[in-house]
Amino acid sequence: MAQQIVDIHTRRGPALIVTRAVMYVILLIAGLLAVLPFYWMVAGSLMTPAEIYSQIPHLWPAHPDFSSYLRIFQLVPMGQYFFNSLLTSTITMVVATLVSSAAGYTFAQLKFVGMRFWFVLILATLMVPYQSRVIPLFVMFNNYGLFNSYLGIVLPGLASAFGLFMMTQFFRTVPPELREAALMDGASEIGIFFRIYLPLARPAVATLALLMFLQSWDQLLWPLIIAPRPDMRTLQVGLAFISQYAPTLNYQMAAIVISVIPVVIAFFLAQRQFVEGIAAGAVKQ
Amino acid sequence: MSSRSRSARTLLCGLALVAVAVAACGGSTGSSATSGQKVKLVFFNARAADPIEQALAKEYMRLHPNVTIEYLATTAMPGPSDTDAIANLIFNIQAKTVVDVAKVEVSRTPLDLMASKSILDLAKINGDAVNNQLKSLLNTNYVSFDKGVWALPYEYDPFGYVYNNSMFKEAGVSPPKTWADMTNVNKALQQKFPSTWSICHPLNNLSKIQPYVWGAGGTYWDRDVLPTRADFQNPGIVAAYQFAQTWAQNNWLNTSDINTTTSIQWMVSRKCAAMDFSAILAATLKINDPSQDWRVAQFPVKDASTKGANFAGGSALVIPSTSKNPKAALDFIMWLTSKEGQDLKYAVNPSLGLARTDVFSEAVPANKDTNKQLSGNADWKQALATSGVPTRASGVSPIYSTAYQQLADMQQRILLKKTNVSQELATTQQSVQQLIDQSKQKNPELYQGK
Amino acid sequence: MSATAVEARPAASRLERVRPALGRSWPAYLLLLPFLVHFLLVVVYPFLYSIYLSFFDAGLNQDPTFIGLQNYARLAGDPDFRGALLNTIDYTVVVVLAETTIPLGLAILLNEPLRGRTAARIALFLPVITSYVVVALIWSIMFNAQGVVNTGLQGLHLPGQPFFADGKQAMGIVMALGIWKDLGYYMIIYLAALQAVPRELVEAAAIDGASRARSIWHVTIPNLRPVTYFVASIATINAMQVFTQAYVMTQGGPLNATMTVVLLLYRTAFVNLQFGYGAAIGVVLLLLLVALSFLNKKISDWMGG
Repeated sequence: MAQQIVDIHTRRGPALIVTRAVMYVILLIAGLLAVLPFYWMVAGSLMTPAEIYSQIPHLWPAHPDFSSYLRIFQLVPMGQYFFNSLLTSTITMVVATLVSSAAGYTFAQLKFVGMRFWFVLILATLMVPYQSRVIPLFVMFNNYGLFNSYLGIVLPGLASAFGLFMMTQFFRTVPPELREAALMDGASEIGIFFRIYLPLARPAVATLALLMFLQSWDQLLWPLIIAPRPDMRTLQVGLAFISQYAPTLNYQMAAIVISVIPVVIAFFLAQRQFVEGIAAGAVKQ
Repeated sequence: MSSRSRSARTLLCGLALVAVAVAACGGSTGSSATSGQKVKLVFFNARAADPIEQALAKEYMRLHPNVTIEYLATTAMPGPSDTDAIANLIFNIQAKTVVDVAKVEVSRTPLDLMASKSILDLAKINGDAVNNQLKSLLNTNYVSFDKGVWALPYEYDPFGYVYNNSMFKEAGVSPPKTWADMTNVNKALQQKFPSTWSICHPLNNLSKIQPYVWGAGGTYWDRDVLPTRADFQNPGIVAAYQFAQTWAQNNWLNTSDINTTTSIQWMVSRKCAAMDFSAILAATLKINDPSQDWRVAQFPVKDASTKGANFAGGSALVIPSTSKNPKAALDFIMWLTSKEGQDLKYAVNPSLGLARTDVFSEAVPANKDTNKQLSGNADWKQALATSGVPTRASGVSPIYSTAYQQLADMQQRILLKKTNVSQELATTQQSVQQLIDQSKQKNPELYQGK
Repeated sequence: MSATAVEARPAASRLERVRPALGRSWPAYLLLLPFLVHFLLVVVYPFLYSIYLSFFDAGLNQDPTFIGLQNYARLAGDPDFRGALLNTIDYTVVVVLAETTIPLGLAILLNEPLRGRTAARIALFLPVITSYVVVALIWSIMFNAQGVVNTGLQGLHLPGQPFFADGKQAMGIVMALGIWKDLGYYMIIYLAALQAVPRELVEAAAIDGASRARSIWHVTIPNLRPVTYFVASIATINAMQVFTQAYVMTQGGPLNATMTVVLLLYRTAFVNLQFGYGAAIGVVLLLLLVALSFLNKKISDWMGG
């Protein structure tokens, strides 16, 4: 629903050009600042350690050396790490999105006893740092044999209070008449959710899915604690070990670049969806 | 439109269910030691050298087909000390995770673990074999007391004055032997290389200032093992900290702390011409920048009248109390610390095919024979340069970890905030003495008859 | 956290009519059940347990001993906790102020018909989608005393900075990272809100002869109150829980200058193995955040948002 706010002023001349120039400069600086660290990672991964550490700033390697990328795959089980991250993040994304959306729908469109209490309680837990839950969680999971298991990694993330909040907001904007009419036609409650309301929420659901995926992909502390076995490590955990496998900095930077590429690609593909979804989630029509 | 999205939803739900099922079945936990010959060991690496230790575990399994080793590791983020990694191990032991063998840091951890009853006495499992093995190992200061043997040293990490000999030659100096030498070397280096520090020192680390204290005839405790009194006010220790503070005040010393990554960075970038660090740094620097002549010398002493001593860290192998197979665990530890195991680890026996760069990220072998064999190797020579210097233990006791942190904080204040040295030493002595007294109350049997 | 504006008033009363009374549509609860089960198991139980622990002295291989409110009393007098709390509040104030203003400015810019808008949008989103771990690693390499930022400064004949060696600068870097990382995210939210401002209002202002800047200031921005409240709420909650940057880049140093509440909790519980004391820190943080949320709502109500 992007509207172009048309500039209806007809005043031209030097004032406008200067303003425009300033705006371009600011935007350019902002963009550069955002991208600079990533550029440095790529550049550094192609340099020798002496170049990286040198007191003379090198903006680009004298002799770009791509062998660090090949070597990194030999030194580090990146494939395994990727697979683990992909698997756990996908599971988390699918389940958390569904569960949170379903719950959000219930809070928005249905009434049940203690509704307000539950809602407030769930929102309040957003303010509890997960670090304070980790110890009891670990002890509990360990006792049930979930140490070093995919289930152990994903279980704490399978529902999201933030997701609930977001989807409740969204479903509040959908007219309840649809449900009323469907009920009169003899549809089941669950069917109404899956066939009517959920499809309507596509942009919000897509956004939530992406956010859940990213959240799971970026996690470090929990997977580090619950799955320390090398073949179970997720990508972030693997990066935490990287200095033990890749003794010089250019290799470590190559590993970092490799870990960022898939996220960037996914973002490029889903860009429009993502941006629209955030907008839809935050602002009501 | 809606039917397509409906079937898409169903497909997604199906996929999710399948995925969850796969996840639940994937990954195994716990030990399943069956009766008879087959044995499963859990090896928890709470130190470094992930790829090497994995390779060694694999090799042991090849040599002993009835043994399965499940390898676990945890790590602190690159940069900070391995305190977090050790904490994770202790955390696991407390949560009753089965761990049969653990690799831990040597100077602090075995005592912490022993005092909290988290590890087994190796001498009780097979006293003769263990005591025999100890004779062939270095760095045994920390592992046996109270008639028990609580760990076997695995890696040996002697410290030293690591320096860039190419820069030193250009400035026409050689490594300092006394504190006065250090000042002269500093002058010469600053003249030739004005933007270089002649010495860099880890600010948040107790171990690397201890050789300077000992080099001034000072000490920290009334005795090295299980001290009953903290002694931070003798003239030697005061002289050492004041010396360090003078250098900081004159801006002859670095102002930020050093970790493994920055140690390499600062030496390669010629920001430091010398560094108080692990001797193995010389070997690592050789990989990073082969163009310079990296060497290791002994720490300078206050003046020729004192002999001084070195400090060595490293790692050790312990058997946690949650182990299900202590005998098999001990066999594995014996192999890892034997000449056979250490020759493989350090590529004296190259059959494991370890990358040269992997091997150099290690501390040097704790096994005396392997150590001797390596000293003939040009790549290792510098890293082993201080292996022969007598090392001293310091404050081996259950409170050492906490005391260590307090002393490290104190050093940071003295160097960065330029606080009064005598006052700082007095205050910290008081607080550490409290810790010792508490420990004596808690574990009186440790201090009995000593 | 709150909803944004415009709750459809007429719809609400209609909603009341069709909502089922308890017991009549139990299948609907099946939709809620997975969430609730997960919530109780993985969130409520561990948190209740940790509140319970906060009244004990629980540590390594020792039986927990009940000590009542001693942990809390100790917290009140603990200079490390006070320092961490002040650091965290400092951090929150700066970051929230920045995240409610800078993204707005960028969004206003991006709303103009400038070329290269999409590129800028993508560039600003790159930090958002990367993990904190990766970003903090990159920044700590760059801002190291001998890192590329310092060599760059020296190349421009400016003095090199201590960065992580100096308490204030280290905190500045931690804050800068927190702000930089989420700029793109909040910018998109503001952008959507800007584009939702009714055209008529802007055009009316223009017809009345207001300049472009004036119309933005007096017409568009006041309409953004509910979004600002939303952004401020999320930003506050995230900022108070700052952990990963400090953990990866500074570990709380130098000399606790960048120690935050959650980092202190982590150290206390995981490294010093004082589970009871660590749990108490968690409880205090929760109470603080609840209080802040109330405050936030009151301010927003007072401003008519």
